[in-house]
Amino acid sequence: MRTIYSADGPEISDLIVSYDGLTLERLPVNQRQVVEEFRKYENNFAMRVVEKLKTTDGGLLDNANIDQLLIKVHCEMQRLAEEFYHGNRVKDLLVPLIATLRAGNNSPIRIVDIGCGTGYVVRWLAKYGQLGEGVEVAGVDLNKALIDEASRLAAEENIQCKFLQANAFTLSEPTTIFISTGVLHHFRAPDDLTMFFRSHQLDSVQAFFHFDFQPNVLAPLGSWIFHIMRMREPLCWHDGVLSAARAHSWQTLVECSRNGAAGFACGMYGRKYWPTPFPRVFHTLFGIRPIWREQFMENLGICARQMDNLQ
Amino acid sequence: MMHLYGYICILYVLAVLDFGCCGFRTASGRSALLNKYNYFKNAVFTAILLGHLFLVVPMGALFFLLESAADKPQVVSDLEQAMQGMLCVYIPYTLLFLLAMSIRTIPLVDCKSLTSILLLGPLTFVRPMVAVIGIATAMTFSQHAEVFILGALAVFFVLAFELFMEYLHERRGRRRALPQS
Repeated sequence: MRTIYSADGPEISDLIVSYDGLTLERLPVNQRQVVEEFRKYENNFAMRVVEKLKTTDGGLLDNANIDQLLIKVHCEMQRLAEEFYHGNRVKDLLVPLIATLRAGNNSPIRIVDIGCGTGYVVRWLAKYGQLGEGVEVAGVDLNKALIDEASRLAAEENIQCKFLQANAFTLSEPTTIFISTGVLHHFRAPDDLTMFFRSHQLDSVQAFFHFDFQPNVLAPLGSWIFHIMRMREPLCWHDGVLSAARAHSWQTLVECSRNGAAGFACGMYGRKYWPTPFPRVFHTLFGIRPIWREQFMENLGICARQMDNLQ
Repeated sequence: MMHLYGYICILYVLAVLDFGCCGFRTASGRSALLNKYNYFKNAVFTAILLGHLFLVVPMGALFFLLESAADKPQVVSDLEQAMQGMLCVYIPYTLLFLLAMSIRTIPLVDCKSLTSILLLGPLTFVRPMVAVIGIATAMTFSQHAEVFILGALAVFFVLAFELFMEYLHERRGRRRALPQS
């Protein structure tokens, strides 16, 4: 258990896939190297999981097998998102935000979900979001297999949305709102996190919000119970618990976002089950161009009480 | 005798409810589509139907015990008390589950997800323990070894059912993943 809860080491899914930063081409991953990486952290559980993965003759991880595993993992993760009504939570922020951006402006609004995986949030928003005319929802991810699966699922239910294997910050079409779920904790060093927020400073971007685990004393235990109960893949158990253990505090998120995305007013949303003092599983880092702030807070209505210090 | 059959009926209803929940749980996390109404409906009904196969042995054993008992009134009385003991554990568990489900009808996202965190998740977690505690409680009311064996058999089949359903889903998933020839 100790090794699973150690927040120092990487998640399995961080290491079993690798991409060229420029071309986004898949790079080969050596199984032994991944195992050795986990050995450094005495993470026997992760070592066992990686050792069981299928390899090619040269000891490289079999990409097709890894992709199948990741699709399965994302399907299991979708179960938790459904159970916690994550689509509704994203919508609750998007609707007042879109209404704010729409004031006196009819230009198209493009929402991009960073690291969308199999695109649950994007598909949910496109199908149930009722975001109105002129709003396009797109998902980007580095993994082509996940993007293909997301597109297949959208086509199967005739959902109008787009999925791209791309870097979210270098898209050809302008993005108005960036969103993500469970991405922030993958940037370990505060400098990396600051750099991530700096990338948001594109002229077209008017707002962003990122959901991630909220760290607290009970989070790893709660996460463990839920991942053991609701998920089947050992990779999910490991990465799910580790995500909760190594999630950034709200102070770190706010500080890094204010340092990185200097042109935005940033704050935390929904840290507690309002009006109780109990922390939510996920909290949301929210950023918006200062010119929209007042109107947005007004549009949030009673939920504005859940926004902390948006500046 | 009416008393005994009343207890059997209540335990049967709880078992059917458990089979349905098993069907839902074991089907969850396997389909990434958004609209899964029919998918879950089929999963729950299939589980309830298949679950009855898992009732055959404990039910058969129960009726065999009733028919073959030398001291029938004593066995019936023992069974009634044992089942009462089981229900002392299973009814509160079921009520908590039903409470969680009824709270989920409140159209507030936080209410719904809190039921998962505080009730549904932990209830799933303790389910095997609750099943065993129910039998242990039943045993405190009974002096017959046969009644204990019967209870253990029933719990074994109820718990084994979830594993069986997981196995069926895995097998179906593997078959789907095979390349088309």
